[in-house]
Amino acid sequence: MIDILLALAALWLLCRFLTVCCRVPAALAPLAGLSLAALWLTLAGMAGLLRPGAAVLYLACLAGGMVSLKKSRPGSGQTALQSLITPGSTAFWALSLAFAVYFCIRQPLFADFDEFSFWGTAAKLTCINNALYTTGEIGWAWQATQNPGLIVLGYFFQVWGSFAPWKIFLAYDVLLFACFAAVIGGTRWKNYALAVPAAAICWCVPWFFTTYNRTIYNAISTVYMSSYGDIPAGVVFGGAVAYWLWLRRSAGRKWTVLPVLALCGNIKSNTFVLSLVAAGLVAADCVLFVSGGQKGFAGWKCGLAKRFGFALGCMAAPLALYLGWNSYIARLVAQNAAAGGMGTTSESIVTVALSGVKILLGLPVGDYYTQRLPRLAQAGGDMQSAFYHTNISMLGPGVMLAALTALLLLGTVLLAKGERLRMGALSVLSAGGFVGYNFMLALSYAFIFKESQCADLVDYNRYLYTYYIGWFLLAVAVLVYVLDSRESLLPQLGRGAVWLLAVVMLWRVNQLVLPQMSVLGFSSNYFSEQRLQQARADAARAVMQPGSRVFFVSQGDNGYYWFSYSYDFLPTVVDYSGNMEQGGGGGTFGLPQLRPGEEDHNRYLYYHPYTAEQWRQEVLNSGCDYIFLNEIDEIFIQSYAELFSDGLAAARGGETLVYQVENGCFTPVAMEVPR
Amino acid sequence: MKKQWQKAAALLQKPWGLAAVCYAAALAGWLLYGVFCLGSDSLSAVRGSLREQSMTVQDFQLVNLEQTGENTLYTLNGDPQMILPDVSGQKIRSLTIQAQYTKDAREMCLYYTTAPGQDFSQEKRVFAVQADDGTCTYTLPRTRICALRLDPCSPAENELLTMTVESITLNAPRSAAAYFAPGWAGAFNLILWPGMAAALLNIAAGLLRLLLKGRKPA
Repeated sequence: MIDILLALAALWLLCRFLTVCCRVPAALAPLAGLSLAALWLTLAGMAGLLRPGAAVLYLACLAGGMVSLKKSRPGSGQTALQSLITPGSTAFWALSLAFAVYFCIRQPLFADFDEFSFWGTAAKLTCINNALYTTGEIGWAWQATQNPGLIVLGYFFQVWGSFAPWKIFLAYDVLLFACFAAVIGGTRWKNYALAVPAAAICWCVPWFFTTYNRTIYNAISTVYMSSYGDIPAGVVFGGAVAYWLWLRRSAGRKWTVLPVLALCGNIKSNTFVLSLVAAGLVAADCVLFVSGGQKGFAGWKCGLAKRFGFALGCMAAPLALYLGWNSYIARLVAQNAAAGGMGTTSESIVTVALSGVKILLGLPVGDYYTQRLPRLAQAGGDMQSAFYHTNISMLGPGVMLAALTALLLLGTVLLAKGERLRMGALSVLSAGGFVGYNFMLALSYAFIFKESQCADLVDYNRYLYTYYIGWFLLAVAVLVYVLDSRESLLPQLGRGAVWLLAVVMLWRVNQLVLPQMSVLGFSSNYFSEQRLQQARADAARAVMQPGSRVFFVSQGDNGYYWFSYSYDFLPTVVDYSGNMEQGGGGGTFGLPQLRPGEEDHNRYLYYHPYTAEQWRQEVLNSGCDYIFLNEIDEIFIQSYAELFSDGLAAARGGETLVYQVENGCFTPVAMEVPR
Repeated sequence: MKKQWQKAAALLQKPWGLAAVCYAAALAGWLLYGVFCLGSDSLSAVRGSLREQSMTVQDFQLVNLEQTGENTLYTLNGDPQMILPDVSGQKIRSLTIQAQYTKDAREMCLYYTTAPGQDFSQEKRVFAVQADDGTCTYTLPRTRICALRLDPCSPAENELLTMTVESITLNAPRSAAAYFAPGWAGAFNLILWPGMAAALLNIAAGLLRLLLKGRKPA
């Protein structure tokens, strides 16, 4: 817990510095602070200096905080306090501290597939090695390429302590709360009647846009307890635009939006487009509209070059980081290939985007794209149908979400007296971004994902709700922005409408998400299987020599146990256990003639047919020191029992999970098996 | 007295005034409700109409369930039910069950009726809160309960399972403190809703002020 307190203290000092010295409103400072931390740690990680970089960051926070404490501001005393304690900053710090204490008590664990196949494992790898997950040793046969923004943010929260999944959840949630605070923005205390429902709306958003079934099954809703990047990507997208709106109204340093935009593009490779949309909106707002000063064309021309330069900087911030990361990854992939791993990755999203534009313009594209054009047509058609008919949210299909967001934006335009053109432009451009994002997703289905993923629009909701979340938060932010400064009858009615929207969203969330099946009341029993699994891995590691490598057997596995034990065993490395051609990384080992029928889905699909001698050679060639038998079945016993010195008697009797590889023989290792 | 009213009016006009009143009212309401529930249950316990009762599998009418041992049940389809057709002679506040399942139990819920002969319906059901040891507790509304139907699991198609019931208890004992503990979600609601109420009152007051201002002669 001390590491969490240190991280929050460092963030508080950094926020104080940003507010006092850079005049960033207190509600925006957490998002700017977290973005700066993520940017710095990403660069330090790429340079191979993550730990020293983190130490420098903490020192910089301390120094900044000290400077801010010494610096006297005009109107210090009561006014200074008022500038630090606003509805947005209060909501942020109250929620962050409450969640820090709550998670420390409840200690939720990772539970979803992708948390083990990437997000959680990468976070653990980074924390235990004090280096980016891209360079840590692990049994994956491929080079991890996903962007590191969230992973390094998780690292920031546990630099000075031991790794725990709940700290990762906390880091994600603190980022979400920072974006919510940016949506509430510069709202003043006298307008708390606007800030409170706006905060309630933000709180509901991650559920409202991602849940479409009642969570009455044993599976709990993992909103606010997940290390997936989809929700944060959407929230940061909306938060970045909200940040800019409120920053521009204040006297804050404009450059502080750049790290926020960079973070937006550094969360997931497939949501990079969102950062371009956010940057485009900020750039357009900056170039097209002038805040204060002379009106008309003359006023617009004044300082145009400076504004244009800043707009270019906005576009460059996410793009430069993204390209820098891609070039870093390309270098690692080449090294990985030279070391015998996979030397290829899927098409880059930038290449795909350029090819997509060429396709739209009717220009020739390479064979790779020409052959997959029918897939693009299919994905486009299916997505169009899904937009109208596939339930992805508590409000129904995408068309309903788009309509709700459009309604809010329309209301904003009507209420924004004197800024109607500006709000109208923001609405139209964000709608254009939505179309562009859909086009990019169709391109991804056609040219990046597997054919089966394209045919079934796999994870359509997860990819698309990211934009809906960001778009909606943007709409709420502009509405709050407009309502905050108006005192007449219509804005007062607008505040009532915001309150009503909050109540409807809270009611709907309460209707579909039972508190006991959510972050607000989950049973620790839900994580009992993960705890037992971790105990089994720990018990196995206790009887192994340090630095050992483990061959993994779990009959009937579809890859889940291989991934999850790869996570549990760290820093001990679980081998890929099988080869790419025969489907490694979890599955069923057995003699070719024992392959079960299709009705036994997992065993049939993920079957690794090896003769006894082939399997023995596979284990020996892998360089593993031990074999971990998570689950054995009759196929395994019949196929390979002869290779084990006791004929697998100890494993069958539940006396051990571990066999040592010694002189070409596999002998049981005595251990206490957790049950 | 007049001064006190003036002070109260001045408090309400401050930005924090309404919020403070709403939070105080919510806290007082919560405590009063706790006192009422504790008192009412204690009185019922003394009268003997509210008592702890240990149940066995044999006490229930089993539907879509086959008893395969003293405490073991095998599901015959995806909708197993354990029914207590008449519990109207006593007050029922909760049902607690501890059971082991061979496969994923999925949805669990408890239906109740509030009048004799009434059908079970989706409008009258509650969901379990699971303790850290896996015990599930269904808390019923404080009303007359005539019949109960426990759906102990909802196995998926082709995933029929065996459940071993370790204990079923009606009206499991509750400490006095439990009547005043809101739980995590309750605590969240106690923070959220008074704030929302204050916001609504503030908006309404603002609207009223603007409307009255508009009616004033120039």
